[in-house]
Amino acid sequence: MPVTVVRPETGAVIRPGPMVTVSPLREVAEDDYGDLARDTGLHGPFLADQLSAFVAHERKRVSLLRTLRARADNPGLRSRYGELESETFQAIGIWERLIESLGGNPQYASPAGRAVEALDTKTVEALLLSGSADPETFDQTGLRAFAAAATQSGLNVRLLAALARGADKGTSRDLLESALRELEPTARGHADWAGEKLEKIAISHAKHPAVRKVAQAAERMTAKARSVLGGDRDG
Amino acid sequence: MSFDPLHEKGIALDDQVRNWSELNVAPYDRNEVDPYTRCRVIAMNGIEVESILFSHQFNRHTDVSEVKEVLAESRALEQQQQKVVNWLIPGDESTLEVTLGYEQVAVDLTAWLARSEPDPYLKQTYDFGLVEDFDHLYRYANLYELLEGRTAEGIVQQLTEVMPGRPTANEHRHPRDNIRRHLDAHTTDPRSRLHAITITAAEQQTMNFYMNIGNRYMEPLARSLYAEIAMVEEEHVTQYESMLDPAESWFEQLVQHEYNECYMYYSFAAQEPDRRIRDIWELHLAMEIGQLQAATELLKRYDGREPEEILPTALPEPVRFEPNKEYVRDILADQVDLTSLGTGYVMDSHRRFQERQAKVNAGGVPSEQVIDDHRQRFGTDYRLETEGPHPVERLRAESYARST
Repeated sequence: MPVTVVRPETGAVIRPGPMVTVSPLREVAEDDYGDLARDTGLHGPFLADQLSAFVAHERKRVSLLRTLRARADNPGLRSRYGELESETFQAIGIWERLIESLGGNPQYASPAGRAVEALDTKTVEALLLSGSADPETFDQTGLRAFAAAATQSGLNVRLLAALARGADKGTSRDLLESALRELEPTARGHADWAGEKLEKIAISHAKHPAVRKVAQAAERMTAKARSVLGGDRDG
Repeated sequence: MSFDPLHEKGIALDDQVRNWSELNVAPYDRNEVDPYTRCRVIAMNGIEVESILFSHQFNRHTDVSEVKEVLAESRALEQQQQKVVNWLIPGDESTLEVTLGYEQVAVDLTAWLARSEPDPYLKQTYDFGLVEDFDHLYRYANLYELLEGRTAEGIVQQLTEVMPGRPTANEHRHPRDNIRRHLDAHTTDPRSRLHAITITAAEQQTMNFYMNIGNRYMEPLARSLYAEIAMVEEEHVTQYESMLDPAESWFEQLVQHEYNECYMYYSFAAQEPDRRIRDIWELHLAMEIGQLQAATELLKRYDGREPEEILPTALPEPVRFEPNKEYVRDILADQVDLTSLGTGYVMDSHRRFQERQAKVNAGGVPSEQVIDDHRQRFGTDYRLETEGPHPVERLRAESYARST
């Protein structure tokens, strides 16, 4: 079962940055993971740090999708966010299996992973200013947040591809390539969907203001109804 | 028996509102109160104040009406709880007596947290602050006898010793040396996070208290001693708040605050001998469970996380107020000369430390003056050493008198 939040109960370990303290039992030293994917000729500790950041991003993307699904006013978007969440959850599983099969620990939170999480947390927190936006604008903003996260996922897959290309031939390289084949279509699909959806909304509203007004009225009514009902907790 | 606030019913927010007479509780009897009951009142007041200040900060970072509404509703309830808790302190307990209570909290709460802290660096941070607050108790105890003609034993009884710690005069570091490393939300033992929230709240309350009441005295010595020690409390708040992981989201911090309030009321209800006050702790626990539920709903909707993903499955071992005399003596013996450099601890009296000391102590040191004045009037300083002579020879009464 993929882990969405790394914590002591899941076996978390970290390599602490200069401002972080950690119990010695959970500390990863600078040279740990030296044996990770040794047959690739790549630097194991660096690879472990990068993979930790890649999976951390997918974990935070699940949180983003959950909140988008809960908060989107457009029912079509809500439903699509639910599908994307399932696919992202599967992506976590693929990254975790890759890390394990290379000899790493999927519960390792690297400094790179902490940095990525910070970026992703702020993406979610940007939506805390949605009181300044009408429901339609909020849905667009949500799409933009998702697009930003999907772009990051695409970059991570691209880096994985580069690492696979730079790796010596062997079992570990095969594992990197296999994960790549699984992850690439999803990452591309998510980024493409976000871009296309944003395009469609922009063109529709630019060319058909009447449609926009009807959509706004419908979304306002939906928002009001959901507010009266105390919000749509289940999305 | 384990207790998981997430699986308790609690009291719904709508049912928590109290009227003015319910807020204006009868204070405890200053002559009868158990010193650790006073400590629990002071500590819980600090924790409620922190929850209120945190909520206000959060409110300034969002314009989502539902979030602001829930924060406002919960915050008003926290405010009511704070009134009930703090109004337990009687008007006939003098400001200095309350101050002695604050410092007893600082000693015995910090020592308990240090003893149960699993992270060695964080434990060191508690130990470092502990011997400083221990010294504050001694300085205020001397002021108390000078101004009010009573001894601190009447307040702390024989539960906490009163004698020099790391001399307050030596606690004035460069502000850059009060920064500490922080825990990591992924790996930290749940106790470390909860304890860090608790000590930050307690020290912040002490800082705010001294900031506000230090000028209520006519006597120059009292005014200056409060000013000096208030500056050390600023150092302590800086060091303790540094321990919290800044990567945690607003909603995660909100949930952790509410969870910690459940933890502290649960802990204190288990230990409280005063039936009436125990009832308050139990009522407030049920209220906090309701507030925790409201916070977790926000977490789910606006942070995309389930409370089970960030909270432990049960509350840790309850926090207890109890004597820590041997522990404090051991730390004193080993660490009285410790200071800090950046985020680390050193025995070296380094240049930045010396420069700061030279500046702030240039015109005389109130925390030394109070001891000198006490000796002048009573022939000796005030101490309550129940376990024998001071563990640091140069801080024993005779040697200390000769050296200053």
